[in-house]
Amino acid sequence: MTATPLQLDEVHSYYGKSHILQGVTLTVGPGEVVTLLGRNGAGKTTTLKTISGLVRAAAGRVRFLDADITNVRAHAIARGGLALVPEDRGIFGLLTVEENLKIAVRKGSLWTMDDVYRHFPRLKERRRNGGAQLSGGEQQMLAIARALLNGPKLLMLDEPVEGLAPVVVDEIVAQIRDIRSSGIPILLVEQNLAVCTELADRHYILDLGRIVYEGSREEFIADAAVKDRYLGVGA
Amino acid sequence: MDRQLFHFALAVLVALLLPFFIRSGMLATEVLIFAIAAAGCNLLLGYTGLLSFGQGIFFGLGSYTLGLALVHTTLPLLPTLVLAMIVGCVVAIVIGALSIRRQGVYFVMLTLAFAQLFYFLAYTFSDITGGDNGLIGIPRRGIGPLALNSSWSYYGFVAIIFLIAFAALQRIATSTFGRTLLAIRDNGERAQAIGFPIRAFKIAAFAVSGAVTGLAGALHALLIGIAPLSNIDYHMSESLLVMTIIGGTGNLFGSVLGAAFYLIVSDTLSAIWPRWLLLLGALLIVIALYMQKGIWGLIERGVGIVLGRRGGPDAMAPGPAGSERP
Amino acid sequence: MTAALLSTDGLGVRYGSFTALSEVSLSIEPNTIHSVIGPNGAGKTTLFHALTGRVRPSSGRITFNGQNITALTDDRRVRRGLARSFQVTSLFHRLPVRENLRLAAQGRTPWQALRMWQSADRNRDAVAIADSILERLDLTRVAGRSAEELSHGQQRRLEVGMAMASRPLLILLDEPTSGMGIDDIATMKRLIADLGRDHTVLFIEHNMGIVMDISDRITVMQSGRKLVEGAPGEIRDNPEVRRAYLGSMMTGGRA
Repeated sequence: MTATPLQLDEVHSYYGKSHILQGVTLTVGPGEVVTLLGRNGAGKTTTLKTISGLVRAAAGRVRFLDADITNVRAHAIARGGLALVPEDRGIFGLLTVEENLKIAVRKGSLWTMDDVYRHFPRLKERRRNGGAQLSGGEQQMLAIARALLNGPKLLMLDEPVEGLAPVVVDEIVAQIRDIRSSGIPILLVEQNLAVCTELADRHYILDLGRIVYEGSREEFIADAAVKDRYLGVGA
Repeated sequence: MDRQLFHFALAVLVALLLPFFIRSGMLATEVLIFAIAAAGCNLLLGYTGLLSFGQGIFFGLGSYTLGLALVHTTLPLLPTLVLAMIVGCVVAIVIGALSIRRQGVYFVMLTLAFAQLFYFLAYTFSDITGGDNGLIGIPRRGIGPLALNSSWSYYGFVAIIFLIAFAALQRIATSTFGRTLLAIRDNGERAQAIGFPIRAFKIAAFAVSGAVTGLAGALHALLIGIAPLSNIDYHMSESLLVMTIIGGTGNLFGSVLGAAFYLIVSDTLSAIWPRWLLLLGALLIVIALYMQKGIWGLIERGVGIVLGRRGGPDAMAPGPAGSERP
Repeated sequence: MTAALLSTDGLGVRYGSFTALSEVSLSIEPNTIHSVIGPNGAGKTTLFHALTGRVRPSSGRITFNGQNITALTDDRRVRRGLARSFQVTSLFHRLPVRENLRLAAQGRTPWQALRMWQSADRNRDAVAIADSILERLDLTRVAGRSAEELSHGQQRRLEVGMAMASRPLLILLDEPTSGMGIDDIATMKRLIADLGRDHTVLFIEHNMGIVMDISDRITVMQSGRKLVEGAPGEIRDNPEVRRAYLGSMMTGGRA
């Protein structure tokens, strides 16, 4: 039986005393793309950070490929194959594109530098440019490429298309679709509904630190009330 | 007995008992003089959270002011001391106003830069200050019929001034003003956001600190009969900070302890071992790592253990900036 | 129609080449509860920074109680009657709760605090105000504890209390319920509604339940601009608002 890529059970976490996650339970199955939606302030980024070990879970459990990783150190989790592409992309501005990529290369990863350059021709063109000189879309691609070079067994993306022009958004969505077909499960935090419905198998909605909805792609598309209530200004 | 009164009583005790423990009238007087200066430094550091490397400027200018007044004019002693305080106050206002335009490490560097500036000014204008040789020949003028020529009569005079200065600083520290400084140290941004013009308050803190430190510098020049260049150099600023930190920035009496400790230890050790500064450095490291509340903090802890209670520190006490409370 | 207590005209804030706020024109009526909502990056907190004086507007004008306050620093605005609470709790952590409030009350007349000879407790007014707010916020029990020892809910209430202490005409609350559990949220909701009785309140919130229930008027922002404004009923059904939150095109909402 294949291991479940990601399982959260009643996870609570805090920023100082601020109780951000108030019992989050969710699953990402093998090969799935699952989105985590919600208004800002709901706790989406905190959820990703708690999973990847950047924020301490005060209660509950996080399991990655059936192994308990709750409060394991962040670098150990990353080494285990859980890759996070954060909202600010985390590009090393002082390094070139190529250098940014090279430090992420790992033996045994299905993705090599050649694969990356084939998939992201734009990065190949700009490989000698400094990270800080890239456009928003290029930085996003670089961040995703870097995560792939690590050979992830689960990829988490925090608002990958925020602030990008429509054409670039299309490109990135296509790239995410490719990654999905290579079998890597993806947890996607995104506020852009069109992108979500394009890519996802299942959707979760987070509101005030709790999961308030779980539905398949079809169910979600059909349910306007839920969208208004938890993502809009309430029906 | 309330805390303030208790500390004042301790200060009186120190002033009364020093002559019995220290043979040299000069050393005993120095302890009280530097206690005043360290308390002035503490007002900025412990209460306002400002680490000023410029205290030597006010100390040195206090010395020069008194020196120039007594050597070149017939001004009586007390007005001369007041003049030294005014000079210290005004210069502190200017330096403070300029330095607080930056925060944190940059603020510290600005005060350091000013310290160097004034040192070089003192060095260069040697016809006024005596340059390297210092301003020599300062007469120990008396007050009216009272002569202050002997070591212990001068000590008595300084002791009285010390107690007045200490009481005044206590008053200031526990006033609305002092409490506002504590708030500024705790969270300057919020203090501003609730209506306090924090720049003005920081400058006011500098003004008081400058006046008090200038007074100490003047008393020192009168003690040794000369206003030396070393009173305005970087080492003086550094020593004043060290005394303040060693004693404990938690309250004003800590500064008295710090000055006493520093001076008595340096006097004793320097006679025994030429490399005694090494020990001082090591002590500073120990304090920074384990004794952030300084000697006073150690005493408090000791007393607490002896009396068997786990007294929590006073919530409204000042302390080392950035100290993490459990 | 009563004159607006606070109004802005073409308010804009730029950080270098990035425009955080542009052409925002608001009008807040006295004695109303007015909320500001909007998706990520809408500029809500920047709006607060500009209104309270923490940030200098690059363009536009702010009029408060009939006076142009655009150039005033934040401490001076407090003295005119404009106070705020912060999204990330920003108290005097090492000082007691009562002292926090006393300071906030004193902040209305800060020059009194330059009296170096006068003991702090002699200013009876400030102490009295602090005590009355402690009562109103149900914090009297913990008045002597240092602020950092309070629970999160208590700290958030104290945050609001700090704004109340200067007896402002207008209180700005930045995400007052952030990180709170259900019980604390209910208490805060009651507090805000109660505040609306003797103050004018402007608040940013993500909790739509509270926003819809207690607001008299709602301003919706998007990408640094005011999108739409109206009563809760109007906003709820407004298609533009829905689109702002839910998106309709393949953009990140910031074309």
